[in-house]
Order: sequence, then structure tokens, then C-alpha cells
Amino acid sequence: MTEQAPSLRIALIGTIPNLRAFAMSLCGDPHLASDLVQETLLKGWAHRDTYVPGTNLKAWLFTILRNTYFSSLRKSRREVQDVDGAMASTLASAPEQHGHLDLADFNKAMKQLSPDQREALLLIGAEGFSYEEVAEIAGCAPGTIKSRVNRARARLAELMGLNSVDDLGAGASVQAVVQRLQA
Amino acid sequence: MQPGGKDASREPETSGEPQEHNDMNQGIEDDTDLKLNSRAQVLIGQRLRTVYDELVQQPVPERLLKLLEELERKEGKE
Repeated sequence: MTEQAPSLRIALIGTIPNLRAFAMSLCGDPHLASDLVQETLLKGWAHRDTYVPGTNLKAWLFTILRNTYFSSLRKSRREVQDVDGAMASTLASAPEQHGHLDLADFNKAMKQLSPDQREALLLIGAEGFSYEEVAEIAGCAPGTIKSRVNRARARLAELMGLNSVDDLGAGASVQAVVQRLQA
Repeated sequence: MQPGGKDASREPETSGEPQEHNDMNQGIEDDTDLKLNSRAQVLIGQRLRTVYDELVQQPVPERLLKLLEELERKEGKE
């Protein structure tokens, strides 16, 4: 056990950046995110006997984190929603790189998603888990995850005005398609 | 009702592969509506990863490193 412990600690440290990014993106509140990560590490450590070596440690910890978050969300839904804007202001200093789509707009749009849609989109689109892995993390069917991701993307596109050509920063080929549609 | 519902019905039922990498190609062949939509999805994906990667790159707080050291030290005593 004393031989195994240091490597577990090191392995846990390796997951912290992703745990923090996921927690922050999921709940949108720096303080809550910080608490979530700490609680996840404490729970992970306390239940380390239930982790199967060789399986995906990050996915295991993400499961703990999202379960902690969703159960706290059920307990105090109103309180959690009051933190609106926290994430947008935290990220306000991030450099603009990608066209005229505003980073703050994106963060605002992300907050409009339901928590389960946001979770699915983050795990698939940002973390790169497979639909099966996310289904296991979130405790539902892969088809459910797929549908949540699709809805999340459609809603984001709608909120960010990406369905409108003017806001798309459209390339020539897209413009051509639109002209054909309008003709 | 949901825009997503329409898209979901057009996507293949196979659930083995992450859809992410297929999104760009799907619909480009014949459906102009989906082509616009997939363009939007690419932009959304890029923005999502930009925001997320920035969060991932933030330094690990000293507090959490100390917490794990403490847990490990306690275990050693048990």
C-alpha cells in the first residue's frame, strides 16, 4: 500500500487540470468549481479501493465530480443558478483569436444550456470521451448522450446566431450555397 | 420542435464512433441546410475547445497539492 500510494497521488495530480476545467465549465462558478474538485479528490482518495487499476482514472474521477455536482444541484437549484455571469467574467481577459465570434457570447450561450446538455457537450466535444464512456460517466444510454449533444449544439448555434449567414463569418463556399438557396 | 431532433433523426444510428469527427462530412453531400449546420458545428467545436483548453492550462493550485500530500501522509501513519 505504501508503494502504491505515491503513484496514486501523482496520478490524481495529473487529472486536476481537467477536473478543474470540467468543473468550471459545468457549473460556471469558480468557487463552486474549486469545491467540486476538492471534494472529488477527497472522495476519490477515500474510495480508492473501488477504482480498478488499469481503467480510466480520469473517467472515474469525472463520474465522482459530476455526481457530486448534480446531487448538489438537486439540493439547491436556485442557489446554483444565481451565479450567472461568474464564468463569463472570469474568462473575460482571454485573448480573442477566432474571428468575430465573441468569447463572452459563447460562455453566455453555454450557460443557457441545461446542465445535462452542457455536461454531454463538454465531455464529448472538449474532453474527447466516446459516447459510450460519457454514457457510463453520466449513467444513461449512449443514445441519450448523443441526443443531448445534438440539442446542445443546435441550441448554441441558435443562441450565437450561427444559423444566420451574416453572423457566420461564412467562407466563400458557404456563401455560394446561401446564394443558391436564395436564388 | 427541437432543431436538434431534426438533426438526430438524420444521423446514422450507429453509436460506436464519436460523432465529432464525422460532423464535418455529414450532410455536405446533398443537403445544403445541413451543410450550414455542420459549418456552425465546426465553429462551435473550435470555440468550445479554445475556452476549455484555456481552463485546462491554468496552474494547479498549491492548496490541492498540499491536500493530496496530507492524505498520503495520513495513510502512511495508519
